[in-house]
Amino acid sequence: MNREYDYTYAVARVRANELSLLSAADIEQLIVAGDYKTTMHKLSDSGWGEIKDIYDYAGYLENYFAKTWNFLVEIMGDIHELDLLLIKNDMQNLKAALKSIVSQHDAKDLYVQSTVYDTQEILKAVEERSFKDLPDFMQKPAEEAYEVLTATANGQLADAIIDKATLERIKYLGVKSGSPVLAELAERMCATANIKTALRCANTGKSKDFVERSLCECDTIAKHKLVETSLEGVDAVLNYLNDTSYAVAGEKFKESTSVFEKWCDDILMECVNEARYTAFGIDPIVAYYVARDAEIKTVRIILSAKINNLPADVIRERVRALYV
Amino acid sequence: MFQIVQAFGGDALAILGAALAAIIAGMGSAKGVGTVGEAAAGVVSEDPGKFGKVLILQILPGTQGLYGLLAAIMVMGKVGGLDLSQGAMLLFASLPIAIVGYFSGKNQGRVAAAGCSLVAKKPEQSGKGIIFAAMVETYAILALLISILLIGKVG
Repeated sequence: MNREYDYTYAVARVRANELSLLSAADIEQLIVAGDYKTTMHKLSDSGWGEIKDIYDYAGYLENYFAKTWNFLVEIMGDIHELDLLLIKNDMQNLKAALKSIVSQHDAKDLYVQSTVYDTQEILKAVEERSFKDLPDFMQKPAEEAYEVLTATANGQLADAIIDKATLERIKYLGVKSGSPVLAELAERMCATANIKTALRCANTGKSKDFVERSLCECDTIAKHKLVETSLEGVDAVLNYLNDTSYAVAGEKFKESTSVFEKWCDDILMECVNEARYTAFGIDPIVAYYVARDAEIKTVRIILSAKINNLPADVIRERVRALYV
Repeated sequence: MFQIVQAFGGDALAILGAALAAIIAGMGSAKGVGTVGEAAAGVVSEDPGKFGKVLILQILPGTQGLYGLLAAIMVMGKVGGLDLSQGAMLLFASLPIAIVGYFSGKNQGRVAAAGCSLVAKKPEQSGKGIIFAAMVETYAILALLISILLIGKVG
């Protein structure tokens, strides 16, 4: 069934809101705005919201993200179509909850606000070790990560298990959505995450078991090849990437880590760029989310660089591709 | 159906034609106006100042329903003692505006809704959005013209 007319109202509201996305000129103005405080005030003046604690830029940006997500909830009606964009927050909270019960430290500050599932229910299930009360796809990784944490205290492996489950869920939701843009976005999210993990594992000499438990299956990169090459070293991974559609990843990685990280984000923007010319369907809404996400990442980089007194050129090198 | 045609002669066929012109073209307009209305509401909820511009876009797909009504009134003017062949001719004469009116209204609604997005982002370009939507109108006008000429040929 053709559902493109379902989003006519939502797309019109998104188009109207796209006017408030930061342009390249706005970003440049923020970069040259002066010190950290001035930049924060500039953001506040341009509609990013009231500043409660000027030094808590992470909280400020999280509130702005929540505002964006609430807008999508308001216009979409059934927001579950976009679950794959937010599910990483639920999994982040699951990770924090698991570590919190094992280490017996309160992880209240680590929980992310905007989630698909009720965070309190996830926390309750984890606190009571009642993993069967979690959503189906969380049960097995939560149990596995909990066992790893209690038996070996290997936080890295526990994180890797949850991250892999996150990517598998993203991939599943992308395919299930029936939207080519969401499916492509999910595929690219999984592929770039796999590349990052494989390179990190190659750099730190992780075992085969660790790499296998960290990488997810995806269509554009063969998992077994990434596992094999990551055991041989970074060059082997980069050589393998030359044979895939992600050959440019190698060049970016050799340039610098920040250039590579920027590329990983920019290829997500690339796959929604066409939505600028699409009048119907879910694509413009997905594109708006990706655009806001990239904008928030860029602003985070600017603020973090300013608080650490880094020069403007260092910031410019890291600015993400914009939608407008 | 056959018994109705036999009992009322050509008048029943002519009335069927008039009803089809009004119903099918009206359905196209209803769909089109509804689609633009959703988009227009989205734009106005963000910026009420754009009401005037999106209202013009919403009105455009409504014309097909009016064309269907016009053709139906013309056919109704001929009703009264029509023989079977005249009734059949009026039925067929109503079909161009009925069918083209439906698709034209529906698709014009689509183009006008896309025009609302244009107004949302670039209000100064709203004239172009109206022109794009008006282009679809051409085919409804051609269909109305041929329906009028065919109706005029009867009787």
